Amino acid sequence: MVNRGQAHTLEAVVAALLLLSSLVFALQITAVTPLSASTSNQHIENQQQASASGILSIASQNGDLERSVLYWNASGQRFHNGTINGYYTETMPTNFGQSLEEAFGDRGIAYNVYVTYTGTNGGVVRDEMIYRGEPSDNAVMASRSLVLTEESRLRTEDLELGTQIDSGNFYAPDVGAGGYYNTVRVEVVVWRI
Amino acid sequence: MSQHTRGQTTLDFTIGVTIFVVVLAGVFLFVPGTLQPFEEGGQENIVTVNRVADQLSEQSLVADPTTPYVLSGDCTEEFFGGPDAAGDCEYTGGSLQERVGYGDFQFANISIRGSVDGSDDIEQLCYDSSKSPGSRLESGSDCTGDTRLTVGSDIAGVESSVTGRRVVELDSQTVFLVVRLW
Repeated sequence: MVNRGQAHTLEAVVAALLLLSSLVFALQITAVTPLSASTSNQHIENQQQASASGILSIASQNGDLERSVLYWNASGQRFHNGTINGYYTETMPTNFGQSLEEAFGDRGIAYNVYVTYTGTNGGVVRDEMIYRGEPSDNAVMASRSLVLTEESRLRTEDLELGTQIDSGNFYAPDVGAGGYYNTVRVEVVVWRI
Repeated sequence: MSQHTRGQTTLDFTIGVTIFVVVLAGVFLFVPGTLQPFEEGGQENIVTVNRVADQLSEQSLVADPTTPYVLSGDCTEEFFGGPDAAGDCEYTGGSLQERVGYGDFQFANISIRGSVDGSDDIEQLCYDSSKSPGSRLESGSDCTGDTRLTVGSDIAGVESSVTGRRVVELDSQTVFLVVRLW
């Protein structure tokens, strides 16, 4: 005769609870969010990077990129209508800014735009053009270089031609002999928020 | 009376084991389900869709290979079923499958979407080469008689597809080239 009372039923329930609690524990310690690494995540990063290259390529081809780089308010030492730090925090009022906003703006995607150029001491200086915050670990970047000559002219607020650039009125200094002025690389950093 | 000293009947035992087995089966069914979105996703479709999108936006449809993403109006119109382009285009073959290259058991839909006339909506565009450059892209009810910028299988009713998206310039406007594969 069996003298054990209820042992098997309780053991089965305890075992079931153990299974469930270990599953809950495993789910809680691994935060599976839409930003977790996966193949589809990588795919989205590729799309963002390709979109950014497309925008840069188009802007470079039709001159918007140069206009945006030269859209500098010499007396205020910032981009036209930029913040006191020199950069924009939302978008910039040129076609290049509009393209970025169209491609990324309403899709939950944030972007920064940086300009890098050779500084007075020969080092590389990186300035913000549009800055929306620190990029996440999953950010991707596309860049495009642009050569400025001493004939390059600043743009006024209405995108009209202004004065010629020199080390006094422009953020990038004149580092080259002859007609060469400086090379500016425009970097677009894109990430999901 | 000795048979009544048992604390556990067969029924108790059955219920206990059933609970255990059901939970065990539930756990084993649930775990793969939580990981599924990170495992599947049509690996080959992802690779193909990126290749097709890159190929179209950087080579096949562009006016000049040194300026990728800037599409040629004539070649794009011909690609989407419009009249033949005057010059040579960078793709060969008659069907979409021959032109971009994808497997026999894959379906593709390629379209150009964007917003024209200052509207904020991203819609399907069409191309009217009889207009002057700069105003050839149209959408909505203006599309009658124009080349609709979409080609391939019908996307309606497709449950899961892989999408590749490129920002391109067509007729001096920034639009989206959308490649879908399933």
